[in-house]
Amino acid sequence: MASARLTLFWLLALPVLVFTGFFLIPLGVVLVSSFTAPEDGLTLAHYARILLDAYHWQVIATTFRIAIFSTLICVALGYPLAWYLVRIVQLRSWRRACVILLVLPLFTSNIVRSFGWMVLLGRSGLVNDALMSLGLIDRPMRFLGTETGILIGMVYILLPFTVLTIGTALARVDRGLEQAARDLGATPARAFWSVTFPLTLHGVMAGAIIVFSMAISAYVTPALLSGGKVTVLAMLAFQQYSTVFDFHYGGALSITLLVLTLALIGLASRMTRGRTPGAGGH
Amino acid sequence: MTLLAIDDITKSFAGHKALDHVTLDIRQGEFISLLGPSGCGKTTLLRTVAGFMTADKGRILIDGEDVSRLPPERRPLNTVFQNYALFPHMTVLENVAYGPRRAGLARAEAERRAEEALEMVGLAAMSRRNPAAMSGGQQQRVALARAIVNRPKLLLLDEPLSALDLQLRKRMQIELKQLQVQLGITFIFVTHDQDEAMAMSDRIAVMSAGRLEQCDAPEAIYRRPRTRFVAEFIGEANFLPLDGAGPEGVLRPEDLRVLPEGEALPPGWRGLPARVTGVTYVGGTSNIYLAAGPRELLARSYGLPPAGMTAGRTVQAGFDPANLHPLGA
Amino acid sequence: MAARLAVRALALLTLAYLALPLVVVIGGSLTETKFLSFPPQGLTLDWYRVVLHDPTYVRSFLTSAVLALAATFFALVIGLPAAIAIARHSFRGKGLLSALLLSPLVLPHIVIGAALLQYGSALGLVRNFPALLVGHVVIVTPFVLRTLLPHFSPGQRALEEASRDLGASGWTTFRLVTLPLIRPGLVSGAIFAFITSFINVELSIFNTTAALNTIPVQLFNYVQYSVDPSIAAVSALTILAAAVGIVLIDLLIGLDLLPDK
Repeated sequence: MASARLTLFWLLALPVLVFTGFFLIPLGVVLVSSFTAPEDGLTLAHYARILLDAYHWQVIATTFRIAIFSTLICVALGYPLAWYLVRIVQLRSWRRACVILLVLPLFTSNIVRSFGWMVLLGRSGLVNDALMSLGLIDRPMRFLGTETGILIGMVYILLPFTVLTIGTALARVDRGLEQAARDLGATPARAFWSVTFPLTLHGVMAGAIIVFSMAISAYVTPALLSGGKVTVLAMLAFQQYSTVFDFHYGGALSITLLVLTLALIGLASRMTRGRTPGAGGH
Repeated sequence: MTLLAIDDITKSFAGHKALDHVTLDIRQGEFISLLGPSGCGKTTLLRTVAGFMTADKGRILIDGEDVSRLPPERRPLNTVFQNYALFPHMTVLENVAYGPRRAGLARAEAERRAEEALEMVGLAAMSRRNPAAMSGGQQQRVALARAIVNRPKLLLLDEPLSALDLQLRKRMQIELKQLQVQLGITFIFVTHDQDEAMAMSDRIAVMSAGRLEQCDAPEAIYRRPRTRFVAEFIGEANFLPLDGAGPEGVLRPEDLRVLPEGEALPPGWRGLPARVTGVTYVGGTSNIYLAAGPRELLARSYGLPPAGMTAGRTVQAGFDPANLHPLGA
Repeated sequence: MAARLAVRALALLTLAYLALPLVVVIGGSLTETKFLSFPPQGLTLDWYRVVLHDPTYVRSFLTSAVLALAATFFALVIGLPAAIAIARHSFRGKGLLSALLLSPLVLPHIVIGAALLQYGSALGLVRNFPALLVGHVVIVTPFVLRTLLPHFSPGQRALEEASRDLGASGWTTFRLVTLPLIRPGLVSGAIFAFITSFINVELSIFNTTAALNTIPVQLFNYVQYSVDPSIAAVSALTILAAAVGIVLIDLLIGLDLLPDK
């Protein structure tokens, strides 16, 4: 038994050391500096500056609005696509190609992905050209620098996560249950909403959590697609570190972002717990 | 001569006693089965002997040497695992040669030994195959070859036949027994199948709830079960008072005869009035279910059930008291 | 049936939406014009030649590659023992430890980057290669851990016992049985780690300089001021690298993310 303890010690020594030294302590430093000021010692001033200022509330509201809409749209588009891939596509090679297309963006830098949208959404970009030639608009629309533009880019980046989690849940649903519902007189739609959908809800929630937490802390995509005209929390925090060099106020912004992210993950995982069906999940 | 001595082994998991003061001596060359329902502790006992678990109390001795503290690789025994545990990333030959290689043999020599062992189980032609590409029965033989290639003193078999279908299982029972006799290795065979244990073993150790209930030759276990558990687990049993009232004894169904009401019993026999509750005919034998007062009895005989033996009829159930075996003896 | 058609149409449109930016980037990189145009006007590989002859691009590319390799190496050195401890040992605080080691997956990278910058400035660990490296190790180790853990199955435990039973010591068993069995997880974890490091902006951006730059950060800086076809060419190259990575993973463990049954 003593040797088992020794083995465990050697296995965990390096991981614990590295993560304490370069992850826990740095985050601790940020936490401490967010509550201190060079002259005053302990202070809540940085948080007061954030919470008592209308501009900050506006930034937080924008951040949330983008995150919420990204999540809703990702689920709304992700569910049909997952359904299509799991239930409708028969050809293996086509499904494989679709999955690769789905995963490829995840393996590509946010920059590259956002860059594509910068080109597409520009004043003389493909999207405006298409909309005009269809006669839907007369003048080019402004997408870059609007929340709509950011949303298009964010959904694009985050959609694969919902498709994958929903698709996995969907693939595990026992088709016999739907057949049983049909046998008992349910219409296909009724069978879907009363049987299939509840059994995939944990997949929907898991995907939504990932999307929401990534959306709320996203930096690159909003920074590129905002053209400096829309500000989200992560951009504000980054400015403090990169241009203003105010580690205390920047720390408070970072901690706010961290707490918001963790709170949302905690809330969402509490919501899914207990609702996760025994048959579908694992 | 005692090869393996299991000496007062006790093992608990989170307050639950998986092994409760188990003591058992196993002789050189013996084929012994550990038999019992799932959760009775038979697999725990086997794993303790193999060295994958350490007992809380008690000792394991092989050839008089205490191996309780030795890791599995230093115990002079090998195991055939329940799901064979064949290495999927090695060929059949590499699997079987794994043991000799660890024993320090050069590759060529180890492979020669492996070929030999594979020949013994009739798989010499398949040595270059991948185990995953083989049938369950073939995988079973590879596992067996791998376990005997080092000629261990003791071979542990953890329900090795449970994944096979009935036909193959019967054949493997015979082959295993032949192999054991041919090699002279002591076998400890874990099973929950009483027929399997009866067919193969020199002795059967029946376990229940972590305790060793009885260890005897198959016919002794059947004829003279020591506890009610053993009597019910091995075959079927009628429980009847030894004389009118008092402690109960075991009467096997084939020793109970059903006679028409009023017919004279053979001399010395005991009879009791009963009512037929059901009759079944199963491939060569007939079962007659009886109710004698509050007691439910079963009588078994060869051939078709006697004519007119239908549910509801009043009969007498007779038996020779010599066949009524007292429990606890 | 109408519902089925609607789902099919919506799914295909969504797939087109997913493909569009990649097509635009690759297409735009082939244009003959001096400005980025899609559809491309004419077809040429000139922009790739421009990129491959530009010393800053080449240097950034090398920095990114070395950084990603080193981060992957350390992620394996840290992630493998951690995975073994979590999968095979029982100890107090195991849940806490795995939460700690996996948390960089969900925490905002910009916060981790900021924290490391502030902490590093106190240690002199700032705007140099080691500063970049420690950050990358922290964010890619969870990928190795998460990919490895499912590879330690109970069935594998039986194989390790079989190996011990046949006379192999604990270390020999690890070398001859455990390691070969988790190799696919190790390799795909390493690929995930490599790519995650290779495409990172949020963390690197705090510690890069004009002389020490990674390819994504450099792209990020360029893209904010100008959009020319050379950027599309660099981007297309990274898409190509990603596609190679995906095909590798597909071949190694099968990219069967959405199983039939």
